[in-house]
Amino acid sequence: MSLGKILVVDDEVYILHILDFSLGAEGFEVITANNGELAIEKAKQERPNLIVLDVMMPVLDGYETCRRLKREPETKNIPVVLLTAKGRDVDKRLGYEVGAVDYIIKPFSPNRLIDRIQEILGCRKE
Amino acid sequence: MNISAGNPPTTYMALGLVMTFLICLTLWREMATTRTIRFFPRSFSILAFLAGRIIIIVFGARMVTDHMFPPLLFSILNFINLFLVARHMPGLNEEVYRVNSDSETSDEIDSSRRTFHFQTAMFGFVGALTFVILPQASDVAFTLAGLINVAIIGATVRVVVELYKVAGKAQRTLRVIQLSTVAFLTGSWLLIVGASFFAGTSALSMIQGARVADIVALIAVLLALQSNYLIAGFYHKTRADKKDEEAEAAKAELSQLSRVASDIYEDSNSMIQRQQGHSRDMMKRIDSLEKILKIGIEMQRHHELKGLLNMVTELIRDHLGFNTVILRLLNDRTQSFETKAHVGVNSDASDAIMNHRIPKSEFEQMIDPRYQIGRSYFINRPVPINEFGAGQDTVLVAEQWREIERVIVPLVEDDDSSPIGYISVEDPRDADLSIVEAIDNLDDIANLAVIAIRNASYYHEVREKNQKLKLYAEKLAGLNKMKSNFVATISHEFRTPLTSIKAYCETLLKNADNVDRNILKEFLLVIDEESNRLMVLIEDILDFSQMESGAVKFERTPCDMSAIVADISADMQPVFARKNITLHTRISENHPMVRAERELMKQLLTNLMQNAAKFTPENGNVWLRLEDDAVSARLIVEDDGIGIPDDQVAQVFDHFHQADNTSTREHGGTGIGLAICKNIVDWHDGKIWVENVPDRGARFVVVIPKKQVVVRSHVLDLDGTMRRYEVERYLELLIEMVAELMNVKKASLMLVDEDQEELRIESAIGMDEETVEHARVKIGEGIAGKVAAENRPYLVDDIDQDQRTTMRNNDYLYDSKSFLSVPITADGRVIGVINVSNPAGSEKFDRNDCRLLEVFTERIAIALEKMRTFTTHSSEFEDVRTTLKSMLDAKRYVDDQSINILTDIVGDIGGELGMDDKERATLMYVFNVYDLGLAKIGYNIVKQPRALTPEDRKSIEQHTILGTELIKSLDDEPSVRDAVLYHHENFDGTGYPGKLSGEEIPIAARVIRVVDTFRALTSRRPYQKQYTLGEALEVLRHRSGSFFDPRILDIFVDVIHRHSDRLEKDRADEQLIESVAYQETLS
Repeated sequence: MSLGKILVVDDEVYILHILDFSLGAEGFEVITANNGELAIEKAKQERPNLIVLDVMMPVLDGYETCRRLKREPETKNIPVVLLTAKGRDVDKRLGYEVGAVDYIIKPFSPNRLIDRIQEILGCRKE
Repeated sequence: MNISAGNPPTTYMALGLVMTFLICLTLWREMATTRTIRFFPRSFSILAFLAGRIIIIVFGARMVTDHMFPPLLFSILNFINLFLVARHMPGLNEEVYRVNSDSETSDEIDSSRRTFHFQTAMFGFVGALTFVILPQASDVAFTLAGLINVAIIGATVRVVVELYKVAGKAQRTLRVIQLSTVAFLTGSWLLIVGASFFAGTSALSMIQGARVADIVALIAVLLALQSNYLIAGFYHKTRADKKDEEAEAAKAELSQLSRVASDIYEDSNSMIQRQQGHSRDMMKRIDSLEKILKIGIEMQRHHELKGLLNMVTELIRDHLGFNTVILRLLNDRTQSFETKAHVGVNSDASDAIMNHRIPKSEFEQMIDPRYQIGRSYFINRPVPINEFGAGQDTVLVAEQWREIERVIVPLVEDDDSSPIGYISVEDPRDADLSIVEAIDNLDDIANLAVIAIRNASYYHEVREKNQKLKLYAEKLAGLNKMKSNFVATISHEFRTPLTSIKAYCETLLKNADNVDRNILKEFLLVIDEESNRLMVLIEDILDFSQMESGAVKFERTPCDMSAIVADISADMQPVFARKNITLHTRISENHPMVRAERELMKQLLTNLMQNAAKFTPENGNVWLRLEDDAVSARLIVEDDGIGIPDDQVAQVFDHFHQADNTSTREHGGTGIGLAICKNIVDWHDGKIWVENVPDRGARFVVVIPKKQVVVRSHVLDLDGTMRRYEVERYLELLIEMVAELMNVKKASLMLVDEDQEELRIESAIGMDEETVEHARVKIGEGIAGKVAAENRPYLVDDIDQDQRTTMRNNDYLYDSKSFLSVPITADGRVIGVINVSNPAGSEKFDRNDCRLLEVFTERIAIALEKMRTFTTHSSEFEDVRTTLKSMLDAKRYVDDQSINILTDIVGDIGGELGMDDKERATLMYVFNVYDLGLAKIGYNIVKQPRALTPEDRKSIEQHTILGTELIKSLDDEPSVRDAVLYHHENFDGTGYPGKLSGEEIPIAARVIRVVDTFRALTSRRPYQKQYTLGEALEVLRHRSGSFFDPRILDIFVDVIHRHSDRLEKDRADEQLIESVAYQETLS
């Protein structure tokens, strides 16, 4: 019984790996993508409940991916949590501007991320 | 006297004559004394009186008897007559009266005069009445006649009294005359009265007696008048004598005074003259000081040395009046005096003077202390010292200038130091010019000039320092950017492994109790791996910080790349040896020199080598090549490692990524090494990219421009430092573009200095600074000078064969046998010359090259024009700069040698299409620059291996429009702009931006479309397959009619066959280089 389907997008394999493990352990169904274009594609196909999206990615960065997700009718309601090494205020603001619900700075605590995800999804259920 | 004798007329006549005589005498005296205008009224009254009396006397008797009225008239006339006599008779006039009167005031004189006049007149009137009364002779008449006679006597008495009064004041003799006159009158009257009394009772005799009395009285009056004159004469004479005496005394006194005065006058005159002399001298001195002050002020305003020196000579000419002035400054290096400015030398001699250098020793001989005055020296004086005595230190110098040929004024900073230069003056306009004064002034001016020269050089120094500071600031800004880029990316790079470590650790901790052993192991491996990654990062950072502190000065100096490459490849040997990797090094023997920061170059090379070592498997190979290019050094590092995935080729430097995340595990690297490489290359304005060599590994290519551009703005008037900096960068771009376009190692841009009628190098590539600094070519001399004078290009394909080779005297402009000079013209006037030589691609220049350079030179003229108006139109200037920069980028990016062959091919196609020379050359020029828009957008976008997104496509399609916008600033020829705008149009109307089709597309654009595609297909580009000529032609043919104009394509195919040998050879050369590298691997 899945708590929800989560799409994790990062170009770092290890990050995908550990998030797959941690979120899976918490009972989420995890799907992964290692770049923005693939993420959009998977989001459309799989309709996840939430997307964890890395910002610094080649080809299509997280902001642009998020912007495009928010443009598509099928994906625009999926909450996006941005994950990034860029911690400046201006980066955060940019994150919210493109439609992210939260902005988590690397290095991050997986437990905190899980809390945030549960919170967001819990809120949505209520 | 027989008064009763009945012959009255005779008696009357005699008396009348006496009276007339007296009147005339009076008249004469009067004339003698007055001679003024007052003579006339007086004379008139005397004449009237005379006339009246004569009428009365001569005709009185007859008239008396006839009528009553005429006698009345005569009585009235008599009254008037007497009044006038009283009023105007000279003897009784004011002056005489005043002399005789005691009265002081004029009022009293007037009143007594009036009384006298009136009394006299009344007596006269009453006397005259007798003439009226007589006809009615009776007893009463008798009585009346007697009364009348009494009245006449009274009148006479009155006159006599008056005369007596006057006589009382006269001198003795005069008094006697006066008194005797009075006595005579009194006596005669008494006689007349008695006679008439005794003559009986006859009325007639009474009347006659009265008449006689009247006449006698009148005579007495006249006599009195005469005596009055005499009195007045004496009086005046006495007075005059007295006055004469006084005058004599006064004269003596005056002459005494005047002697004193003249003494004083003389004294003061000489004093005044002396004073005037002094003040003239002072004024002159003040004048000249004022002049000098003005000169000084003007001089101090001038900061440009050349202008200042010219001004000094002109000022001396204008203000001190010398026709010829020459200023020389000491060149410390050559220890000789060089002419820096002169006036008054005719143009023939001017060259000789400018080129004539006077060694210091010669100068020292010239200045002989014996001929020194002040600080100045005379030269070639004909007055030798010995004439004035040997051993004298100062020499008396001729007063007149003509004896001196010239004066030399040394320019010294203070009295003890040796001269920094000197001013020589000759030929004064005013031959009488005071020498001492002139030298005073010259000394003063020399002092001022020294200060001004020193100021100018300080100014120059300060300005230079400012520029250096500006450059430094710019460098620092670049460095800062490099650093902040670095910090931003490094923080990302740190966060990534840290994120993994933290996430894995936390997960492990959370699940510590029930974690699977395999998972534990896997997690720990990841943590270990990521820790290693962090360690490498830290090492890189240490490298970087080491690089930053100490050795690296961030200053570009000429570096021999060959030496650096050799050093580093030796240093790196142990690293390669560890993995048993063979390093093959091939270094160009040309020793390409670049302007670079040596330590950064080393770092760049080390990083590339480390990268290669990292990604090459054990027992593999690494090839290191250094190639020499016309304008750049090219460094190629190749390995036979795993290569770089195609989709990452474009990002490998930009995003600090390594080829694949998975590769990290295998190779244990991070990638900031490459990022640093990119920063270093950018800082040197170079290019770095990576390409995959099929079946081998990755090939990193670094192009460092040689930047041997030397800029010296000799001719351009560059005032502001800001402006100077901008303009020099601009001149640099221009000459770089020339070198790139013509593919030459040596190029120079010369401008005409109209004042000196010579050409100076403003910017050059491939020439040393010294040459650029000092090279001068006279208009009309040498090749460049001839080009400027004749306004036509010179193409020399082999100097040894050329007939015009007498003119090799400026061969520092060219070292190859073949060279090319093209005039730059503006409004039909030659403003400069472009010289190119040492072609990199081929042996010699040909007509095509010449035409191409001519076409580009037209653009240079536009660019220079915009530069001149920089202050007023700075945005235009900026535009041109951006355009030039984009052109250069476009040229540098493409950068294959085949461009030269293809340019020739384009020219040939133009010929086949019936274009004239000019059109062909323009086409060739466009072919070299049409992609400038793409260069501005950046090539990365085209290099992406994935399919283009609509956004990408849109921005790519923009490049033709952007290119057209850019080229507009440099090119006003519509055909060029259209060719750039439409070079992506397809023949069938499917291209962009206008979707034109067929003949609508400008012919140049159609030609470029074909050749551009061919070039793209056949060139080595990292992101695509390289086609052989045959394959490429096949692809083109396939698109005939759709992409390409079939007619042009056919011509192209024909032409390409003509050039296929060259093209194949070009390709073979490239492949040869690679195969040599392979051979070395095997050996």
